[in-house]
Formats: sequence, C-alpha cells, structure tokens
Amino acid sequence: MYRDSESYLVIKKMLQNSVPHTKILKLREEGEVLIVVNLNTDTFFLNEVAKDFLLLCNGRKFSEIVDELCEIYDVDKDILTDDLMDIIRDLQYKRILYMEV
Amino acid sequence: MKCKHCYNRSGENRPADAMTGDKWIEFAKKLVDKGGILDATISGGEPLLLGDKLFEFMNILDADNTIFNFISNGYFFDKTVLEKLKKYRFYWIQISLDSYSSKLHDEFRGVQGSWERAARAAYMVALSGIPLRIASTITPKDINHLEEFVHMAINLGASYLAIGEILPSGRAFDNDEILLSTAELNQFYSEINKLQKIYRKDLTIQISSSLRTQLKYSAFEKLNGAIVRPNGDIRLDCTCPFVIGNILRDDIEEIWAKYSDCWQNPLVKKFIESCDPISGKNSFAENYNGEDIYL
Repeated sequence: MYRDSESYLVIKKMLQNSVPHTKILKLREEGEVLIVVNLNTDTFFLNEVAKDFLLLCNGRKFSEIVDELCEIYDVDKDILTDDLMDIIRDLQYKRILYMEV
Repeated sequence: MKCKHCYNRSGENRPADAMTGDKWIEFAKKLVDKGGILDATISGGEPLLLGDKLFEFMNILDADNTIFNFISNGYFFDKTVLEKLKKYRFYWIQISLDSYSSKLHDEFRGVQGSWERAARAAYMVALSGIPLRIASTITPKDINHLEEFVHMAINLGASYLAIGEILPSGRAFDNDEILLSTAELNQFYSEINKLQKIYRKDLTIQISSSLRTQLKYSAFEKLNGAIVRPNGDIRLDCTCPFVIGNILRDDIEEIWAKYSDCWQNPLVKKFIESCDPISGKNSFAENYNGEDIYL
C-alpha cells in the first residue's frame, strides 16, 4: 500500500465499516503462530498480529476489531489501522480473507 | 459531468436518446437471434444512467454467454449496483480516474466529489473479485506524477492501469491545453516504460499505440466490431467519424454483410493517411468535431 496516496485515505475510510470474513479450510494455533489452510488448500504461517486480527474476524466491523486490538497492543490507533490494512491486503492476496463493504 | 477530454462530446447539444432502454433490449434480442456476439463493451456517457433497463439488456446477452467489458465513471456505483453486476462474466470493469489527485480530477470532470466516488467504486469492484481496470488520461498538469497514478491503481486493487494521452477528438478540441506536446509525449512513453518494468509484479500498465498505428492495425482486418451510438448509428470505430448504418432503421445482418470490407473504403483510408503519426490530429476530418461521414 502506498500511504502517501490520496486513494489510501479513501480505502481507509471505507474499511472502517467493512466486515472482514475469512475463507479458511482449517487453522491451528502454534504458540504465536497461526497455521492457516485456505480453500485452495494452500498453507500459510501467520505472525502474532495477523493471528490476533484473523481470530477476531467473526462478523465484527473492522473499526471494532481495531478498537479491541488497541486494548491488547500499546500502540497508536492510527498506526495500528495502517498496519492492519497491510495485513488485510496480504491476507486477500493469500485468499484467506475478503472484505464485505 | 462535462469532462474536458470527452472524445464523443457526451451529453452535448443532442435531443433525447433515440436508443431508449427498450430499444437496447430489442437490439440485444435481435443480436442473439442472429447468432449473438462474443463480447460487448458497455460504455457511455455513463451506462448506469440507463437504470434497470441496462441490466435487462445485459441479461439477454449474458444468457447467450456474452462476456462483458464495462466502462463507468463510478459515480452511481453502490452495493446494489455491484450485486447486480457480479452475476455477469467480465474481462474487466473500468473506472475512469483522471488523476491521482481529487482536486485535479474533480476540476477536470466538473463535479465536486466525483474522484472520491470513483475511487470508492473502483475499490468495491476490486473487492468483489471482478478484474478492475483504472483508466487515466495524462495532461500537462500531471505528466510529472506518473508514478503516483501507479500507486493509486495498486492501492485500489486494480489488475490493469490503462494510461495515455488524450485523443484529439470531441471536446478535447475546445481544450487544447490538456493535450500533451511532442516533448511531453516522449517523456510519457519513456517514463511509463520504466514504470511498467518496476511494477510488473503488481499490475499490468497498458498504454495505447499512436492513433494512426491503431487505425492501421484495424484496417488490416475485416469488420469485427462496431460502436452503437445513442441515436442508433453504427459507427466504424470510436476514433474515426464513419457511420455504416443505423440499428433503428437498418437490418444489422445486412449492414454487417454489406460493410465487411469498410476499412478498405477510400474515405477511411484517406482518414488514416491524414492522421498525424505523433499528435493523432487529422487534416482530413476531425472526430466528433463536425458531422459524421456516412459510408
């Protein structure tokens, strides 16, 4: 994502009320790592932040998930939102997640 | 909208469209009866202005397994529209974003807030899984910001960025300041070649060849596509002013048979030869800047 671009702000605003949904065949927690198998049977190993985010994708809006993660991590809300947007893009490429706008 | 570069002077000095929604539906039925078409590009003006009749028209072609391209300014896109479009087969949906900057785009289109609506529409298309194509035209004001167009397209999830200079056609004749000079054109092609290499893993950057080259390629072939205008006229191409019939008056099958070699017509050949290889300006006839020529 190119954060200095005006299009980034449009997406950021749109995502606040969007609902992330997972497309997962199977998942397993291994300590800080989450092992995920998507519907195409590709396997991925996700880091702690991606794991925490993905496990909260259960019908809640993106903004609500950000609020909840802000309580776990000592981080500025705006910075966390930016980081999660990168994670969302990555999970979309991996065909693990889709956003309902 | 009244876009400064509109190649077909959309919405200007014309009576209500003769091609009403019902006429388009009738035409789609006729096409399917005659064996159908492989693909259809739905364009405008703005095709969503046709309302639900647009989807009735598309349904008929879709039932015949036609694949669509869809070109929109994104202004009327919302969840309902997207849900309706999702059921069709698309090569791509194209949203026009004339600048990476909302200020420049809105000024260009003449409608405040149009950039943001287009950007939101583009992102919704990408999220829906339909291949998204962003179309951008370059003017002297943004020739030094080409990489920012690429960043915008990647952010919005585009598979393709179709980017190029403005055609000397239609309303562009009234706004000479938006056309690139030869030096700017050289700069554009040189920089865009570099960007194609840098971002080849992220998206496909599509640039068109010069108008004269495009027309020469078309002239190698028999008639394999045509434009249907809101008045029913069947135009040879959107870049040259030749009309071969009218679907409200003529039988499409007869027209197709009669004009299959129309790219070889002496007037068409003269038009191609009169097209400047660099600027695309034509010394024989100006596209959408006067009367069309009936072959």
